[in-house]
Amino acid sequence: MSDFEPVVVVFACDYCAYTAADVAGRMNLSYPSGVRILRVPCTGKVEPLYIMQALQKGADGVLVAGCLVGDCHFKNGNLRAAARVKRVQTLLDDIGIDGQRVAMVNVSAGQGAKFAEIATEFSNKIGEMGPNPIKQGAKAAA
Amino acid sequence: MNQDNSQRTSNSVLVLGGGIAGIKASYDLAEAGRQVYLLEKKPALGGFLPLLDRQFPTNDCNICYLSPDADKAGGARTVQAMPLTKLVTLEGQAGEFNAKVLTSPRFIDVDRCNACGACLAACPQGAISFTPGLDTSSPTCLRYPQATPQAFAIDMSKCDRCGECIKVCAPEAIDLDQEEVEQSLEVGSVVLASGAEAWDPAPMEEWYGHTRFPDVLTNLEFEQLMSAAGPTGGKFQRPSDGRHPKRIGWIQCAGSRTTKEGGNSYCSSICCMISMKEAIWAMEHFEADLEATVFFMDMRPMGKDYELYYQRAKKELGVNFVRCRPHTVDYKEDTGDLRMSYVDDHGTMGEVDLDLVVLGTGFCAAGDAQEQAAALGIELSSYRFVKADEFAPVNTTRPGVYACGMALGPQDIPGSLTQASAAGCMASANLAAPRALRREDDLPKEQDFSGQEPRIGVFFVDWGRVVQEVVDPTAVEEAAAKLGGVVHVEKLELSYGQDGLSALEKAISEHQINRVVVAGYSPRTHGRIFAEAIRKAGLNRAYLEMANIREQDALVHHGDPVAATAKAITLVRTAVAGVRQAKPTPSLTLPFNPDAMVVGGGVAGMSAALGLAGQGGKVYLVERGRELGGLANELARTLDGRPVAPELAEMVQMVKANSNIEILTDTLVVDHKGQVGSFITGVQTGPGMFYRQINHGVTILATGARRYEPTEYLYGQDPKVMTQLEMEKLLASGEGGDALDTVVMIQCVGSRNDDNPTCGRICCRSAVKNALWIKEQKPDAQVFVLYRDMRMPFTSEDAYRQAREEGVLFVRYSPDAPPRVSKDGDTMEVIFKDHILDRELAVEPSALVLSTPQIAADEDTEELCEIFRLQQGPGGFLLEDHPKVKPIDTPAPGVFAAGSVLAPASLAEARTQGLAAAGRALTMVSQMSLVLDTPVAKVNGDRCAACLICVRTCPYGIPYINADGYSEIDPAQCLGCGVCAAECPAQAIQLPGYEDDRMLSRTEALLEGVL
Repeated sequence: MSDFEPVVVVFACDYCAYTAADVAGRMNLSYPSGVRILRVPCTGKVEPLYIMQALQKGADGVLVAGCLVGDCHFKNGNLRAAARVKRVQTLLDDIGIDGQRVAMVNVSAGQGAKFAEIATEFSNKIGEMGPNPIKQGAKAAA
Repeated sequence: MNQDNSQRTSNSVLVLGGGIAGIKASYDLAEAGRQVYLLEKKPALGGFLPLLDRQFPTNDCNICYLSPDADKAGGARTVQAMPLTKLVTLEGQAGEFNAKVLTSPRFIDVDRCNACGACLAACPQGAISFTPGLDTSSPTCLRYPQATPQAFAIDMSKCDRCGECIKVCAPEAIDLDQEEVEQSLEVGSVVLASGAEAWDPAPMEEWYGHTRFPDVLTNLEFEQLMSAAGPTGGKFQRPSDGRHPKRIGWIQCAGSRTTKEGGNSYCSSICCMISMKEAIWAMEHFEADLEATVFFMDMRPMGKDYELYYQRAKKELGVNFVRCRPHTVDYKEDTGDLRMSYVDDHGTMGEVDLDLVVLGTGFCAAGDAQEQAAALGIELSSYRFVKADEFAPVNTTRPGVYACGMALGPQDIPGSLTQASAAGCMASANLAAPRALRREDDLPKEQDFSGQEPRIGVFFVDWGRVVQEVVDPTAVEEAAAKLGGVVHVEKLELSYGQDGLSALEKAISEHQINRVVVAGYSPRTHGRIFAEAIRKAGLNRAYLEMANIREQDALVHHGDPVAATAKAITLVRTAVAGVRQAKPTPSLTLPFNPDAMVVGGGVAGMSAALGLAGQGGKVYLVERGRELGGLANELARTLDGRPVAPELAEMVQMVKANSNIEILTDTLVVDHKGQVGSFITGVQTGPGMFYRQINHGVTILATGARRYEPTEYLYGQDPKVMTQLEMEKLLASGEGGDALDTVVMIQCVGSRNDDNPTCGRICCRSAVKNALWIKEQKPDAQVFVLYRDMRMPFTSEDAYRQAREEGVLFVRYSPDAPPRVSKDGDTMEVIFKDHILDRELAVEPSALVLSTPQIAADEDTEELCEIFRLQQGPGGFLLEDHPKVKPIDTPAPGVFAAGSVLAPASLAEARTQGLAAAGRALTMVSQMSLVLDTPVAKVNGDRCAACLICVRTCPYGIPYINADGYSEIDPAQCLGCGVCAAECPAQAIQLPGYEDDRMLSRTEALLEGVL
């Protein structure tokens, strides 16, 4: 598995995590290049469908990154997101994809280092879990 | 307050100081249609804020809340930010000032500089700084990504003109021959917001050793140590040997509340909160086993609900609090630790070994305060802060010049912001009728692209060397050109300077581009700039998407250029896929009723009404009682000892005489509907309680609080027992007589207990005021004040000192052993324990005075909250929108609050908040119409099953089921979070920019080639 470089899609809240990712850049930190960020106005906008689509299109892992608990710019969007991530995890377990490929994380706008750390750790974890099994199926079908 | 502004011609305000107070004042004024010149001595806006890692009481990093304001203030078309600029002279008078201002050279052209950092890296002398001035030892740290202006500056005193920076500067922004520029500005008012300075502990080196011992830090230095962007990169190490500190002590009142030379005799008001925040944050985020101890004389968490923060720190979070007089800090050679000696509560000396000492240093007037005051022609107080008084809290001694923030004295952020909005309100009263912004009208008509194929232009903005060394620009540009729908690819020579933007506009028209992708910077920092640029070219702002190949690619994958280049292509592809499906977001213009309703006729309500009258439309001042004046009617003296009645009478008279104010006394609010700009409120008025509906655009709630009616200490059972207010009446009558022989005051009666955990905030000051008054009437009177913490912020500390000097005895009691009162026949006795003598004392008072708080008018406030759809916070007071950054706004757009409906308030605070609420309201009232162009959720009625899920999930309760039976979302109220869209089971709701199909296209493009 040493040559496996996981692709991780991050749905990042505009107010916190997305800004934290910018700060990570400005601090010249680094995280694996397989981590790819999509901006959302609030993690409360991240539908289970988005997470499933990302996995269906070949992402090896998905992170939903919102504000710290209690700090959501829209009161409780991050809590809703966390609840949805839990549902998706159960669903994935049911269909034979490890639910741990999806995770909810919380970072504040200033926490660039924490963002880089989370991105790296999660990517490493997915690296250990191996590629998204959907990829096998897609290759077999091709 | 100026009644007639028809003669006024100026529409401009000069704001001095670009800290958070100045930014807030500027932004409020700009929003209200005013032209603002925002002067800042330093190279960038920001003040103290970027120095703070976290802010109490939420312990958030509030940069993401405040930077949009800073960004708007710097970027708003009517705010001209003038860094490196100071005022030289101010001539003329209110309404027609002439200000001479002097701008020092930056040696870097702001319009050209793209903050790439190449000059910083190249400069051998360290003469170039990143503008926020966060930490000079680490100038590359960008904790504050939205710094305005986003540009470097050269410190000529360090520069030897070697020219290295010129060689590396790609946009040719460096000009070492720039000269200072003097300008003359015509303005109608001036707002002074020049702040204060952090007190430097050097003069008290003997006690604190700040210079000698590297592990003695000031609170702001400690803040840096904790900051991820600070000198240690977020590693928690003490400066001397890099060891993890395990025992940290905060020394309060370092340089404050002292008559020692080099210190300040006033209380700095906010250091208790700063230290508690630092202790909590350090414990929570660095070391679970950290021993955090605060050494203090009195804890003074002065702001709204700050007492709860203190109790939580003490009881739940495990911060140690040691009441003592800190003495000296010494260094222990053998262990390398610090030893602090102190005198404890019982008068015994104590010592403690610490790894790190943090000095709870306060703030003092700016070094150039005198020079600036001379330029402005205003008087300063003896501490060189701006002189203001209880009834004119944001006025200076010169009409037309107002003050806010730390220029008035040490202050927390909510206080500064409130004063800023108040000063903005006062400043605009001297101006001509505001200019409607009508920004849409100034722009070319938006072109209609419906039915047309996307013609996408991809623009690469100058990335600077930092990016180009990692990402191969040619490869990315070639890949971009091949993407579907892309008709034009261009590299813009400047990042976002005017030339670059003109090139963008030109390309749009030349190539009939109808969708734009900008690749380079983050949409967080540059999205608005490019959105405005394409709008100027006739495109709807929603036809833009940005590929963040700087912050989220090149800068984080610098070790792997191949991967970084591939990712850049992926990000551009994703942006193109997204923009291909962009739909225009229509901007919505709503008419705005300029009339206002102010509920509550106390000092806060009257201040708000006077602030608005003559500046907008009509003001309806609704008062439940028969008379105006509220709780202030019961006060004889202000906290600074002046008579209240004449000032209050004058204020009531001004309200009554103002033709723009309609006073409705004996009036109750009974219902309320509509939205900002078109509220309809029902009232029952007069003895007959006739129902009447009032149309208005904004609402200010100032319904006040009520006095706590004590049940403790025989109140109501013995005529000798009274409240401070009753004592005040007795003193005002001059007939105190024998009642003043021996007076015992008991503090915190009805506050800081289980029933009411909040602090009354002003009872300590009232007690000292009355104690001094008693001494004035009867110098040989014996006065005891039994207290828990004397909370005497800023210069009220001087009154506290004066009271002690005049022989008032202050005896502390612990809440576990409160004073006891017994009565035997006619003899009443107060028994309390003296901590220093460590024994019980008994006093037979001729008067027992209870210091009782203002408490929430609970049922009334509850009813008010129901009518206006607001919420109550702890203690029953009205909950503001955000305790830190929006202390006067409520969560309901167009509804503001002021005075003791929010928290116990002094006269000065009620007055300031009333003016601030008026200032906030003016930002809306003056526009006459409301233009909305941010994406808001849209419902497709055909798909809606009226299942109510959106109604329940919306964090603001905005969706409702309309008469046609489907969900409707008011675009004027929606904030665009998209939660309803995510929850809607029928996908009947979509958020423009984040529609489901568009998100899917982005995801597909982002993952293209992965499967």
